[in-house]
Amino acid sequence: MDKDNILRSIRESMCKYSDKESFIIGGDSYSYQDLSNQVARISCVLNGNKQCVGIIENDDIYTYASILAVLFTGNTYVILNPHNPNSRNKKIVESTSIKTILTSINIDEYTGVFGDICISSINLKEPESDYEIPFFEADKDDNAYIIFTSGSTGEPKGVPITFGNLNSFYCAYKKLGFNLDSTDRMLQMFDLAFDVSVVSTLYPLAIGASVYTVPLDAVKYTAVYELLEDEELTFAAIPPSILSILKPYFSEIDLPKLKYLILTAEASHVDIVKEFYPSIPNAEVVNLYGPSEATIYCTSYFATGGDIKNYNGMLSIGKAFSGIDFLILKEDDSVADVSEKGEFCISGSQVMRGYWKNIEKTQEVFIQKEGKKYYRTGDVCYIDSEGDIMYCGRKDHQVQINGFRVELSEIEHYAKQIHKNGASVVIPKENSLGNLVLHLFLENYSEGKEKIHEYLKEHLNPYMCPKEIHILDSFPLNNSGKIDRKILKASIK
Amino acid sequence: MKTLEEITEIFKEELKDNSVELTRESTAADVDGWDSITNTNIVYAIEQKYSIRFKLREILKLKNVGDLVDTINKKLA
Repeated sequence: MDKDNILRSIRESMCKYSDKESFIIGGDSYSYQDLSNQVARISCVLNGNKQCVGIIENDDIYTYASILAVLFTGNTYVILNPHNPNSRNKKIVESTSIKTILTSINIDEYTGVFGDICISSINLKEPESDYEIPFFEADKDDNAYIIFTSGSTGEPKGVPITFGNLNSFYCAYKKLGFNLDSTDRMLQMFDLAFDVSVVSTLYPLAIGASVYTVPLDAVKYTAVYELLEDEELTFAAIPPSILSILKPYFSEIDLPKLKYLILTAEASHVDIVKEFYPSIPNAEVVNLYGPSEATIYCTSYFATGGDIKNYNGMLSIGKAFSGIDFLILKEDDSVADVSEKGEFCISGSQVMRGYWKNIEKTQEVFIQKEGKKYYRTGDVCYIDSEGDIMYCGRKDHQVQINGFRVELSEIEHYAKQIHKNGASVVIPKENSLGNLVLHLFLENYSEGKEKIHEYLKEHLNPYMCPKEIHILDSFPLNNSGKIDRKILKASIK
Repeated sequence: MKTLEEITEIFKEELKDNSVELTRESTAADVDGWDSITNTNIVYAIEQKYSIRFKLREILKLKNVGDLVDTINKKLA
């Protein structure tokens, strides 16, 4: 039973590997002993349990120790990103009734914003050694963390993940069979308000490995490359957009020590993965997919060798995790046959109970089917003849043009055949007459609109050809490293 | 010799912000809008303007604007 509890595993590591490095942050190393001292000290500030505790994100040991302290005391952590507007952080604090905020940075800036809330600044003084690491066995239905994503209405949408969800994820993730142990060096480059950071931080600690972090303000792609090469990291989870930025430099990159390259957070493209192979001769590439609502990841595809399954160039998302049930539902909510497309719906103990204080939104995303409650991911997929799940794009990236259903990813796929030096994104937007018009955005494209337009006309039905082409030096990315389609859409006049 | 003034002009252009002021000590943390994405654009603009090419390692070693100016001048020498 203990083996199935990620926090118990982390506590074991703290005892067993006390002299080993737990975190390497900005070049400074912290042993597991240092980490447990900090966790113990911060825990003293936290009274009680089952409460939401705010943590203002910073790239230091105190922030990471705060996350553990909140979890070890059976509380719920909520990350407040200092780069978010204060008004957004305030909304999050209000909706979660946070009474305590942990921060290692300039509290003065926040005292006004959050009113009477007790803000505990973590000071740098040496911890005294006689603090005990607490361990409150949380109930499996208590929340471990709440991730806030942007809702379509502008109100932050909270995804509460329970200790039970987290441990179900942990069990399933272990079954992927990664060959990792306490000697491994693993990357954590994600914003803490994005859930891949949870596994990038907690999993290495559960096996006694070392976590290498990337600073919040860093030029990320150079920082990631520097850590991978200089620290000879053995495991790295990154969004594919990092590979796109590094692409001009692939020939300079040599990472023989890397054992696993995890691609996550957005669709990965087969061409760029293959081009990167020579730089990672000993690594397995794994595509991990999952919505935050189902706890970090819930499917995996091991892309090894030359034959990579893909649909319109996007890597397959492979097989569902152990413990995950899934269905592909067609437009009329009937179950799709093999190779028929539909919405990917998942069920199981990794799936959240519902959005934070938002019954309406919760009802929208769940469907009762075959006696189980399924979460609608909004992703369009189909199952191939070998049982692999093929990702076809977001449901809302499917549009009707002149009555025809158009998959935006298909147009993007053809654009990529001509435009290889940057991303291609198709955005549908209604014109002043209320007709949907397709806009093609090209990043860092220098060959002239005519050429790509001609090529698309050759390969796509006329109604699928974008009417407008926009060329940008680079695309805006959101907090989780994904191309920000909303900003692109807003830029259309 | 390429000067701080010339580089500042490139930054203004790439960050689309005429109020950018740089010193040799300026870093990404001090300059609004200077991040992963704009950094690739700035590097690309400099490469085009002076017909030089940076290696990834060289980009990494640049700790501030002064380093950038010195590296450009070294490549042009």
